[in-house]
Amino acid sequence: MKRLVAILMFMAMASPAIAQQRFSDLVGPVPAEAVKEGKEIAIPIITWGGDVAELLANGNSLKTVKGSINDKLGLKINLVQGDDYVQQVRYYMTGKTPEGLPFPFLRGTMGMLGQSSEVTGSTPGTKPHILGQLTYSAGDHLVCRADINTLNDFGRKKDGKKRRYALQQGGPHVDLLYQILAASQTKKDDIELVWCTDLSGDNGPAEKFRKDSTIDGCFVITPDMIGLTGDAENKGVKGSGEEGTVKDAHVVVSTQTMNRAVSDVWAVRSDWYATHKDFCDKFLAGYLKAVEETVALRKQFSETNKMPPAYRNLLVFAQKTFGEKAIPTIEVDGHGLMLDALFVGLPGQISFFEDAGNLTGYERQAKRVLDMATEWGYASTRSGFAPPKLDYAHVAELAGIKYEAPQKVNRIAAEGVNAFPDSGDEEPPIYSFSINFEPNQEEFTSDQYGAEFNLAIQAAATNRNAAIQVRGHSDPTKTLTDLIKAGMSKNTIERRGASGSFRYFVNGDELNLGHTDKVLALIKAGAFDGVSPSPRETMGVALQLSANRAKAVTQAIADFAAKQQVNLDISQVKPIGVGISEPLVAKPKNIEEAKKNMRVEFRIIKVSAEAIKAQDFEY
Amino acid sequence: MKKLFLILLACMASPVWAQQSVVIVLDDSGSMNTYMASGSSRLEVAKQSLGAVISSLPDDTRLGIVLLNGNTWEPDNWFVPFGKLDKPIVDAKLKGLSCGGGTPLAGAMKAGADALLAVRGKERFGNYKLLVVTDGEADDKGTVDMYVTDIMSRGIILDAIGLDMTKSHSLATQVHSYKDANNPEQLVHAISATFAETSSNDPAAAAEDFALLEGLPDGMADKIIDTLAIGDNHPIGEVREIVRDASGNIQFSEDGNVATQAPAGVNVGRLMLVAIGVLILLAIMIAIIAR
Repeated sequence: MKRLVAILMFMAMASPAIAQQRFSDLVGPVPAEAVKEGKEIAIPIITWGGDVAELLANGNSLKTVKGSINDKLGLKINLVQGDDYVQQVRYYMTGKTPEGLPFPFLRGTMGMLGQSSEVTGSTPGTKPHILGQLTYSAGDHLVCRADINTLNDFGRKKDGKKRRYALQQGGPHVDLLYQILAASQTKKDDIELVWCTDLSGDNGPAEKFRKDSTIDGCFVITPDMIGLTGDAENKGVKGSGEEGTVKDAHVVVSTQTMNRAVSDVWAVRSDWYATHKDFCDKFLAGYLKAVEETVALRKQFSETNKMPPAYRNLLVFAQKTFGEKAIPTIEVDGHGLMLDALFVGLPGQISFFEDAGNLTGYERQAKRVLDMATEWGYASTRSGFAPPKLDYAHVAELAGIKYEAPQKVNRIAAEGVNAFPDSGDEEPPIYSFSINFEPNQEEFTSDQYGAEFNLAIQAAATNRNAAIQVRGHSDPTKTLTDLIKAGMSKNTIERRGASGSFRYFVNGDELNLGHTDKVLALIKAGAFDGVSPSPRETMGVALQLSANRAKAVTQAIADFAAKQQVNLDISQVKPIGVGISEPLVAKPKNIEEAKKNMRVEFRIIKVSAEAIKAQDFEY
Repeated sequence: MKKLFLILLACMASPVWAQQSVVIVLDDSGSMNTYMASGSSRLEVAKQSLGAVISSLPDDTRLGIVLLNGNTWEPDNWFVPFGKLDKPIVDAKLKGLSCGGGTPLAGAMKAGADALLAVRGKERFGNYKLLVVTDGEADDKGTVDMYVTDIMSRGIILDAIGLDMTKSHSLATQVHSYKDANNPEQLVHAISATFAETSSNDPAAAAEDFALLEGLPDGMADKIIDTLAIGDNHPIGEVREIVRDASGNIQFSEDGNVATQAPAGVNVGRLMLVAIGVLILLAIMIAIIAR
């Protein structure tokens, strides 16, 4: 779909430092001043599909055009380049651009706002109100070398050495990394970070990864991901080593699946919000109106392959604004940039800010990014944000759009998940984790397994394009002992010796590994069948037990989510019993080893696009 | 009574996991016209209640219903052909069902189990369940007993629901779970899944399991499990006998397979078919002579 494109550039961070450091050091000494008065307001935009809708709202112009959506709302806006986030924060704190325009807004991801929170929260007036959500991102990727296939491989290597990952300092991927560490239960001390000054380009993570083979993975945006892997359609293709790709480089996790990890938002200074609430309502209304029109145009092009003139005009202006390096072609790169942006629309605002059960909503994201900022040293104090508390019916009326509350949908069709990923050539799970229990146990309580249930529920919420396969396993001990007993009963095998030193013979030959084919041939010929206990019957019952376990755990998770009053799309959770077919210890020597097999495994797996219920807005 | 039976049936065939294949063997013999203590006929209770079972199954279930007196036992031509579940069609068919005829229960069970085995032969994984709904008054009871053992030894889950069925019937005593429609609250018999992993929850007793396994060469167990999982999918009732020499040693052919041969004894099923054929011939001859 997308071909190799020129690198999308974000501007360099102001500081040359590559070590992780306090955000206030990156910003430098900057006074907090009142926002300058002025009729025309400067609002930052960044190179992102979500911001293209704001170009439309302004009439395909940086300055509000007469007759545009913003003009009809009585707004006068001057859109300014905001890819340099540190510079944005400086303007925000001083309340003006170097040209003297009022600058009360910030444009970033929740993670970026978390990193800058100590600076922006240093005075009550500059504390950010999170005004609205533009999008979730589907354009960020973790690309790794051959030996990292799932996030379970993310931490230390088998020899105990730390793996090394390249990412931009202060950029949108810091928070993504924080979430990946939590999901994979990896400690930050188990990896080494290679900080880059830029998100992309010569000083970006992709180029570091390309040049330095000791770097195990890198966090990149879509054009760089395609450049490294050649995987234009995100199908798990590995780099060939030709045409600029890196041999065996592949996507381990992508926000196309983990599509609630990166939230793009607008924020506004508290002091300015208090005196300009009407402007803020209208600004959000104008943006949401433009989003509806943008999404409709994007959909029309995707479905007909004929680009509507209004869509072309918009993308041409986006290309002019963001540069041809960022958007070399309209149809492929411009449209590709738009497809990476998962617009949330009006229902998304309500879901993000007002749904207390939304695990990727404002409250929980704000907590997470402040945790990250303080734990990782971007901030020494916990300076938070404030939500907007808007009247969304009023915003809809201002925008002239239909008020639409978010709907809870079953997102994944039943046939969208292959029950047995290992039986074909499917991709490995994004990551997995397990719970173990006692022999023959079929009941599971949240008291015992609450932590793991939380991990599964959070995984479903963050990875809305993934299924959580609840995979029940049982131990093969009894099946194997029944096989031996049946074999002795039918004179297929002979046992000699005493308990503790049993030996088995076939046709007088003591069994060793060299006889494996013979034993398997005997099984196929039914030499262990027809007597009781029958190993196949036990195996069938063990399959039933494993399925019961998977079902019981799934129900326990659903109950746990309901008890905690958090959202869970149960269509994402797929119980399956696989019996004894995938033991961790095939021949247990004692009950401790057998217990390793008695488990339910949670596998977070990618779902085919066809199985995902399509929505205009993602929330 | 009906309500309880609905619950009972729904529990027995409740959706447990994806990739489920279920074959229902439904007795539509003349004896199913008999009225139960509740005032409803056996078939009426069975077919109305099966509607609830069907509605409780996941949409991706593979389902078939084979009748004892259908025209054919080929899965494509069953009362409900074996394939992806289509609930409205199944409901409509059940409503129009009537009964009459003999009770060739073993034949229907074999047809259902063979269809499940054929699918299992193509798919390594999945769960395969045969649910027999009958009054148990079979014409071929001896063969039913034999098939119950054979079906279960292949790892197929065999459940039964009895309508006025005798408590000593093999379907009431040997299957994985059996429930009596006369007393739906009571699970009359169930092979417990409790001891599917170890022989006992008592550590000392369970230790005997591990002692038994010790003599099994390391590295062989996982291959045994793989081979067992593939399953023995040859048709039900077709017994193969392993060839042994005079010393009792098992004979292997040059390609590494175990040498097998037709059993020296007579297959019970075939014997019955031959006997029926002979009886029909005798009847025809007597009729001709009588003229």
